[in-house]
Amino acid sequence: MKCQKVRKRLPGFLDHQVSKRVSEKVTYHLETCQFCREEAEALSLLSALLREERESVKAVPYFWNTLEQRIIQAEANRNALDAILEWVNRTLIPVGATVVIVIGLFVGARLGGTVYTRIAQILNPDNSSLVLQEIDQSLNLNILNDFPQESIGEIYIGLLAENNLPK
Amino acid sequence: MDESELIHRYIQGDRSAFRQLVEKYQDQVLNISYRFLRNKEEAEEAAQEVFLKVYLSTNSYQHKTKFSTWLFRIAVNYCINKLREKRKLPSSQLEEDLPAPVEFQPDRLLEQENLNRAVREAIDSLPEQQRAAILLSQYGEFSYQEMAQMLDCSISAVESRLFRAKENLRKILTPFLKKDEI
Repeated sequence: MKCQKVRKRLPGFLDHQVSKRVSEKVTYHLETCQFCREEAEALSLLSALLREERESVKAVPYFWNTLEQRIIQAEANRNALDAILEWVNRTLIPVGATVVIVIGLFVGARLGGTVYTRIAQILNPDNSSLVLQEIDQSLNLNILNDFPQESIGEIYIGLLAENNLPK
Repeated sequence: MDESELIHRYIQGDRSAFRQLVEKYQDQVLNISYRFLRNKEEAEEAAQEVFLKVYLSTNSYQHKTKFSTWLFRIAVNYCINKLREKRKLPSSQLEEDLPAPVEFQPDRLLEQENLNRAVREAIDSLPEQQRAAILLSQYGEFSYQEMAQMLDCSISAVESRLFRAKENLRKILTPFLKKDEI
């Protein structure tokens, strides 16, 4: 095992967190390499230094009491939220859906009524002019009509005719 | 009652079982939080929040991991997030948490205090991931596998972070790394 690899495995080796195979390889390398041995020693000193700074704290005697109050409060909040969500699911959504459907039906009926009335008028044999009017509007045939009387378009066409100019 | 029974009852919503789990792990959670946050009041608050989250998150606990591993993972994540929030604060607010500087005097007790302070500051100066790894390794005494689960990374990542953390600490603490001072 090369020095670079050994150095990377040293923390795990010193913490007894490497496999037996790796441990044997590192041990063998340390027996033959002074540089890595010194590295291992330095890391051991560092670990000892870190262990010396072991200021610890203890929980206060009323730790659980305070926590329990928080739990009770959190559960109360969760129950309130659950109640609101249930009310929304049971009441608001069905009512909202019903309103949307009713509006949809109403609008649909109005639109359908208008179209139906128009179709009925067109299909009425007494309303043949309405049929022609509907065709004109649908196919935009009114652009082929003559200009209205005394309109600028009619005057212009008249002038062209008088001067024998192409229309 | 053994721990697995307590955990089973806690998941069913038994608060007294949960209380026993809290009393078993409260000091460890508190100390991990204190190592990260360096403030006793904040550590207490963090420990409370962690246990509250654990109590309300029974659906998140997967039985394939140890309860303690899952608990400390929540604690570590909470503390890391808290540190990130603190970093966003203006520096005047952060200074209130720093202890007053100790003047170095050639006295054995103060020397030890200086050493401890130097070690704490050195650890605090590490990048977040390295700091978490070193704190769990040195003060939590967890296996690398447990640490990997807590830190949500691979075992080789844990080794790598510890390696870099110790390299950095050695550079900072070189004046203190003399055999006769240990």
